[in-house]
Parts: sequence; C-alpha cells; structure tokens
Amino acid sequence: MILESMLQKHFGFSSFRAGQKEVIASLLGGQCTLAMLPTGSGKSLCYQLPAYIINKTIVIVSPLLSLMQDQAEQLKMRGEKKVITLNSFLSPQQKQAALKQLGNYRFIFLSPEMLRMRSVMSALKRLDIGLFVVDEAHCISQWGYDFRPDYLNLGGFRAALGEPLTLALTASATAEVRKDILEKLGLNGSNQIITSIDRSNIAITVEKVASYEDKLERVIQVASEMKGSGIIYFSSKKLAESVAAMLTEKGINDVGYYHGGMEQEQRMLIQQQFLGGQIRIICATSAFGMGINKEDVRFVVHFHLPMGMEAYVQEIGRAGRDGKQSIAILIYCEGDEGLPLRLAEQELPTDIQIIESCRFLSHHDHKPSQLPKSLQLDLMSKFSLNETQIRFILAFIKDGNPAEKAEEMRVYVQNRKLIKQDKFTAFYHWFQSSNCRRELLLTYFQEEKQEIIPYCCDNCGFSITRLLEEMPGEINQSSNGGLYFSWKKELEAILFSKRAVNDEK
Amino acid sequence: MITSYFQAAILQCIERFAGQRSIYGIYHLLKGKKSSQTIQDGQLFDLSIFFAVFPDAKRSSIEKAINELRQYGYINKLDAEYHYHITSSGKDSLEQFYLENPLPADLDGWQFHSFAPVFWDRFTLLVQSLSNIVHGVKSFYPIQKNWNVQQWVKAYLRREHTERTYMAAKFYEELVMLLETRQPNERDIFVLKLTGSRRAGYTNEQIGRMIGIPAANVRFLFTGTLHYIVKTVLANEDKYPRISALIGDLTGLEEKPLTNSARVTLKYINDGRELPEIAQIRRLKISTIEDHIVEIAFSLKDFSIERYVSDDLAAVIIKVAADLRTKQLKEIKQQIDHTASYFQIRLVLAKMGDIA
Repeated sequence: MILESMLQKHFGFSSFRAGQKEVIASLLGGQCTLAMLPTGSGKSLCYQLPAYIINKTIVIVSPLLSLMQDQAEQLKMRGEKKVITLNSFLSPQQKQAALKQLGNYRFIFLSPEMLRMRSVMSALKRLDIGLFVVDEAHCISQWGYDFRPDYLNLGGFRAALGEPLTLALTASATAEVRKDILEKLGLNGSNQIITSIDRSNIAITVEKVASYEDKLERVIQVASEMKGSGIIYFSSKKLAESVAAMLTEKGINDVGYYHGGMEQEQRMLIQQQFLGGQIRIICATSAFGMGINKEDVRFVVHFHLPMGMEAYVQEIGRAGRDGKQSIAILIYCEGDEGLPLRLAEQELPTDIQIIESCRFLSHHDHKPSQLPKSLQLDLMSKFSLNETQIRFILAFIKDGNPAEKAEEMRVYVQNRKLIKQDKFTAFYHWFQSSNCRRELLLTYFQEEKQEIIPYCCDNCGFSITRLLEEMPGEINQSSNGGLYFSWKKELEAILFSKRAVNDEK
Repeated sequence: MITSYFQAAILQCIERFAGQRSIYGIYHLLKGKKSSQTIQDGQLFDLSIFFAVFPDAKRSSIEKAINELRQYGYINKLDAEYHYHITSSGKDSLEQFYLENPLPADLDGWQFHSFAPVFWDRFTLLVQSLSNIVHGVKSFYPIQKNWNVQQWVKAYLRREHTERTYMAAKFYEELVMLLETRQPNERDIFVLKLTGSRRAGYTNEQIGRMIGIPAANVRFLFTGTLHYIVKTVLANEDKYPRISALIGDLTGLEEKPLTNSARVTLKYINDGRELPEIAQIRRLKISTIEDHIVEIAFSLKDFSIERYVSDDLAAVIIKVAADLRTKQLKEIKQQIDHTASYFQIRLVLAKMGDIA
C-alpha cells in the first residue's frame, strides 16, 4: 500500500501495471533483478519509483542517445530537476562541470562509452550508487537481436563500481539471452521477473498480396479504413517518403513520414505532430518509435518484413498502449524476404572488407578510435564501406592493433551473420505458418498462450469489420491549419490565451 | 526552367566565378566550408551572402543541379574539368527567376550563418514555453533537444521576472513589427514553423504544400528571414529589446573570423617569427602557413602584407589582375613572367578583396 501511495504522489498513477510492483519490491528487498516487461508498459517506472525510496544516486546506462534523452526529458516534465545525461554532446567544459557536481543528481543517464572514460568512472566511484540500471539489457548478448559490443564491458564496470544493486531491463529477450545477460553482468542467482510479452489487445494479422501494386492498394485501404492513428513501418527511407506522398495524394491528409535521414528539427516536429494528433498516420523506418509514448496508436502496419521476432514484437508493441483494441498488419508479397536478408548482410563488413580495412589501418599511426574524418572517408571509398560498417570496424578494434584484430573480427562477424540469419529464418517460418500466430510468437519466447482472445490472429480467424467497429475511433485531432490562414492570427493563437484575446476585443 | 533557389544560387555562382572556380568551389561556398579559400572566394566574387546557406548540400546534389542546368542550356562546360560558364539564356533565366522569386532581403550567410540557427533554436523553444505558460499548460515536450538551448531558455525565464502574458505580448509585438515588412510567403513560413501549446510547428515540406512552393525554397526563404531578424534587432536593440536579448550574448563572442589554426599562426607572426620558422615550430607545411597568412590578410584589414610582397610588386599584380579581369592565379603569374609567387599573388588578391 505504501508503494501505491508513492506511485500516486510522484507519478499520479493509482495502480501499477503488470510486473512493475514485483520488480520494485524485489529491488527494495535488496535483490539484483532482471526484468522483462513489454514495450510501453512503463519499464522506466521500475527504477524511477525506487529512486525516491532508496534516496541515493541512480545510474542508468542506455544504448541510444535519443532514448536516453527522451527518458530524461520525461522525468523533467514530471518536475524532477536532478537529472543529467552524460553523452558526447557535452563540451569538455560542460562535462567537467557536470562531473564535479555529479553527486547532486538523483538520476544520471549515460551511454556505455562514457563509462570507458577514466574521469567519468572516477567521479562515479565517489558516489553512493543506490541502483545501477542497465536499460535495453539484451544489447549485452551476442544472441540478442541488437547486440552492442560497447555493452560487453558493463559487467566489468559494474564490478569496478563495487557491484551496486542492479536492475537489468529488457522488453524482449529469449530465455537464452536472459541467461546471457545475467552471466555478463555478474548477476547469477538474481531475481527474474518476466511478464508475458503477449499483448492481447493487439490482433495479429499477416496478409499476402500478389504484387507490389496490390500492396500499395492495401496500404491505401488500411489508411483510409482505420479511424485511429497508426504507424506504417518501412525498411527504406525513400519508400517511407514516397508512400506518405502517395497517401496524401489519395486524399489522406493527415500523413507524415519519419526517418533517420531527416534533419533533427524536422524529425522533432513530425514526432510532436504525431503525439499531439496533428497527423494521424506516420510512415517510418525503425528509427521511429523508441521512447515515444503515444497511448492511442491503433494500428501498426509492416510494409516490409522486420529482421526477426524481437524487432516485430517491439514494433507492433507501439500499438494499443492504452489497452484498447488495436491491430498489427504485416503485408507480405512473395520475394519480400530478399530485402531484410540484404540489409542484414550490409550491416556488417565482408571478410575482404575486414582484412583490407585492417591492413589499411595498420599502415597509419592513428588509433582507430581517433581516425581523422578524411582518412575515414578514404577508407570508406576504398573498400566501399557504408557508415554502419566503418563504425563497426573502428569500434571493434578500439585501441587495439588492427593487424591482430582482423581474424578475431572475421570470426565474430561470421557468427553474427549466422545469428541474424537464424533470427530471420525464425520469423520467416512464423509468418508462413498457418497455426495460431500468437501461440507461435509466445513459444519463441518460451511462453504459453494463456487466455482465449476474441481477436487473436488471422489464422485463428476473426471478423475484421467487427474489429473495426470495436476499435475506438475518436482521437484528439487538433485543428490542422486550413488552406487559408492569417499569420497574425496564427501568432496570436500561439502567444495569447483565448481569454486575453477576447478581453482585448 | 529554374525552380529552386538552390539552382539559382549555383547559376549565380557560375556567373560570378566566370570560369575561374570549379563547381566544388561552389559546393564549399554553399555548404559553408571554413577554409580561407572558400571565405575569400565569397568576398572576391561578391557571393558571400550565399556562404553556408545550404549547409546540407551534398556533392551529389550540386552535380545533379549542374546536370540540369546543362540540359537546359544555361551553362556550358569549359576545358578545365568541373568548370562552367553561364550562357545568355542562363542569364535570362536567372533574371526571370529572381523577378518572380526575389532573394530575401538582407540574406547574408557570411555575416549571420553562425548566429541564425542559435537564435532560432532559442526563440522557438522560448515561444513554445511562453505559449504553454499563457495557455496554462504546465508540462510539455520541448521542441529543442539541445541541452545548451534548454539551459539557456531556462536561465532566461528565471532571470526575467516579467509577468508571462505580458512578456508573450511583448514578443508578439516585436515579432509583428519585424515580420510586417516581409514578403507574405516569408511571414507565413516563419509563423508556421513556430510551435505553440496547441500545435507543433510544421515541417518545410508541409509548409511548402500549404503555400505551394518546394520545400527547399521554404527552407531558403526562412534562412533569409532569420538573417533579416538577426540583423535588424542587433541594429535596433532599443526597438527590439526582447528579441535582441536572445542573441546579445553571441555577438560578444564574435571574434575575428579566423580559423583556429590561422589564429595561432597570427600569434607567431605578431611575436615576430618568420614564415619558415612558424612552419617549423608548428610542424606544418610552409604552404599551410601561407594559407593562413592569406586568410589573415583577407580577414584583418590592418594586417600588412609588406613583409611578404613589396609595394611595387603588389601594384603590378593589382594592375595585371584588373587588366586581365581575372582572379585566376595561373594567368596572372604568366602575365608577369613569374616574378611573383602564387603565394604573393594570392596575398595581393586577398587584400584587393578587402577593398572591393
């Protein structure tokens, strides 16, 4: 009961969501904990609430800059001032100033590479760390779908900090990955709190179409039929843009697109328009969604195939966070499997690229981590490496000897490619199967289907018309600036409250 | 037909460069490369308003635009690789484009490229904050993620105790004064890009659709508006006390426009070191130090080049450059029988740019 009143006081919620209370109780009992809670179920509350009880510094390691900033931003919005994010955006002076007064913060967010800095580690060592949080903990496992080499050292850093109470958070990890997380972090014997990844309010459907044109047709149909807001996922930036344009052309006005290639400001505007209901549908690459909390997303469409079950579950999990009926639609056309396989291939360098790059690097005196931009470009064009590939190569070698690292990297890459292929193969079998999709999906995560769900999946069968009827339609659509508008009126609307404007009249 | 300011800017650069610089000179200028060569090109050919006004230009986008201009017959290829010449139909077309799409008044990339974005980041976050405050919204998701900008706006609001509806009204007044003299499109774009409590700002593309122009032109016109605002409020601080306060702290930091490395070289020169000596101390090539000196000569009016070029030689170079109507080093050097080095010619031209 005390926890509930804390929840009310600090976060304004009256009850916990599944798993949250168990995780918090486990932590408050002094137990290191691995928590697997589905996306959008309030994972961050699991460390935010204890922070006010433990009353010591909370250190949160997060793999993605944007994610980290979003979480810090959300805390600040709630009125928490003692939040800092340590990342590469800070100038050396700012970093120094921040480190000096690190003890004044309640929440310290940092990226794993910050921990590699001696100044950061020594500042952290001086603190009384009440809780060490590893967000997106599956990134530590080579068996995970989003392995980050930077995460491998976290166990070592944790030990160097005196093995503080630790919370490893993830949204989707198979049993194998969970075991790996515990091992790598030195958490063997910890509590595991695993909630089901199942989201019973999301109907799961796979639709097969005969041609690319049919696929476009179907997207138009979905976009006009669905009443609420939705995300359409693409693997290509260009297509996200062009399909958005096509939908607009078809008279669906409230569509936008979002991908990593856009200017930061434009991305931010689109994101906020979507959150505020100015645009209803967003055509996006997987860059969209992390850290975005929109409760009333009604549908998620996959125009392209995701790389595996984990990615799929994450992406469809952005629908229906308000618990209301929602739907996930994957549109498949024969031959679609080529793209994810190709993309997976391009994420990592080939054998020849590895060997040649390492030879190139060993001829230069620069440490790979400090390779000047010009040499990077040179290297990229010589061996036609893309951004992801070169970043990988340099990060892998770090400050090591390139010549010695080549073989290790080659073996590692081969291994990663195999794992990725396996992940996709599992997904391939899943969407080709004629058995209950939910059950198969749960089996993949070593879970069992519990309840009977009225709108389960296309293989179980349900009436889509009925589902559409049951789907809450109304969204808070804010007025979209009409064709005619006056700049002065618009400015007035921004800077004056209605009352003030009326008073003046 | 030219449809974008981007094409127009490239065409105008080709016209002014008159075959003396390659398309990559244009690329560096539009992108805003802070090298002495690029900075000087801007001044010498009177193109510095375009400095850094297309910061996300890519080599490929320039090449694409060049191809289009060629196909239209607006430019001709010259013997030297990547060098072009404007044709008379190109000139006509450029004139026609500017007639229908005037360059935003007060656009000046070289002067304002570094202020304008900071000003906008602060302004848009401050407006969003005020909008939410006057509408009684307590928490909102900031439109600017940059930590420095957030800190700045927070500090501003802490420092200024003015009642917020009054403050918002004052910003409104100043902004209306500023925008009233602008072209309708520019006014619309600026206001539509702002984020308030009830709606987020629109993207360039959305605005383009709303007012019927390409997204790239929206961006360009907006850049012009920003330059105008920065320029106007800095020159009339008493008239725009609030908006000028958003950039006041930036102007103090505006040091002489030198690259860092050139600044170090200047320090050695002032200490009385000779050119080769500086190269040796700094472990840099002589040619690099020469680049620095050209940059310094160009940027600092009172920097004397006497110790590198005699007055007589300088006079000859100036005359030849004027007679030949060229700024191409090779031609000048041939004309004066190689009595001056490239370095010396560049120095003199840099000083001339100063006069022009």
